Amino acid sequence: MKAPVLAGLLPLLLVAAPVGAQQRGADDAAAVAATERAPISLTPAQEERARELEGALKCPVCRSQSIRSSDSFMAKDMRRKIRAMVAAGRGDQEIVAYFTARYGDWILLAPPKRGFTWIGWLLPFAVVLAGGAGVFLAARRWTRGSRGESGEVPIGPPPESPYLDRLERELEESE
Amino acid sequence: MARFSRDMKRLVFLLALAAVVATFVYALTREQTLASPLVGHPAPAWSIPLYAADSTLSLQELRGRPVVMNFWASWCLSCRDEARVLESGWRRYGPGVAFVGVAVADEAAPARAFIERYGKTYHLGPDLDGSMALDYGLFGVPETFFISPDGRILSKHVGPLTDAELERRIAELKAGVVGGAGGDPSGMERLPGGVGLPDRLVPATDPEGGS
Repeated sequence: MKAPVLAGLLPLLLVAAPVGAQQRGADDAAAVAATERAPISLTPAQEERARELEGALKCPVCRSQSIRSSDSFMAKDMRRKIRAMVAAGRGDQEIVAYFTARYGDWILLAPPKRGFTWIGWLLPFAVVLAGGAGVFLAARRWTRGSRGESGEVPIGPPPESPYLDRLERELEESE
Repeated sequence: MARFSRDMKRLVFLLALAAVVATFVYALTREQTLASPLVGHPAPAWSIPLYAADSTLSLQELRGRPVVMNFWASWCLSCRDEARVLESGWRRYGPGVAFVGVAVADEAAPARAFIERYGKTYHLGPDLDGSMALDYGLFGVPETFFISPDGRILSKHVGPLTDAELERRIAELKAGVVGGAGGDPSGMERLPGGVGLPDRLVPATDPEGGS
């Protein structure tokens, strides 16, 4: 009889197991973590690399802000992660890959030059070129309108002018 | 004929302009928090100290069982709605399905108060240095990852889980289906900004009238 009773109690014991036990674990670990979060010292060259990487990554909880300029929790954790990886001798691509593997290319402030994102890079230039072409064409049309189709400025009144007819008539009469 | 051609040119120009504007609006407004490149890939390893025991728990120890891994915080209002769902899910599906709650950007005292207030009994511990939040590409809380017995992330849910959603996701998990990412980002609270701990810690008195 005991075996079925124990079998019946087992799920309850498993459910209750984490509860009511000692509560020091997480607090002790928090104290250890606090000491582990001492500043990570880098060489000047490494500092420069870390700063460049911080400027290239977007803060996940901000709006289009780099982790270098953000003071959010996550930005600070990301800066620390970058510094730790730089100190460990990881390359720039490896560090960026760590973040893109978790957040996708969205985490990059400047999208990578591949696939669909080429549109984002090329579109501003295309818009400027199209705008320039539009202004050029409009300017040419306006100047043609005032100069005539040939582009030369006509001298004197147009041939079919009523004033010219009248002038010629009066000259003939005076003769 | 010339007029028709001019009208067509205008129409094509307007359509092209509308397409460009629509692309930009979509790119600027689409919700990034849902997507996760981690889905379908091995879950990053972790080891956390447990609030309820003087011990630690690692993902490796849970190998062989499906895992529901939930990121939460005591200052997160949506996590209160979700607390009952997760606890009842654990009582229903555990221990065959392991439930783990990881407190992020939180302090021990309010986290413990939250656990006690909502009667949470599954494995709960803190992300002490923020490394788990980064390893799992977190945007906020609650976010829940569903990990297969062989340690792959099969799906991710953003925002508070409902009973029906948890049931559906666990069924997918047991069947080994890669469910992708989904949920309701409007129910997710972004991890806090500013210096120090979050402003909105759990108040001393329970706003819901409990003890």
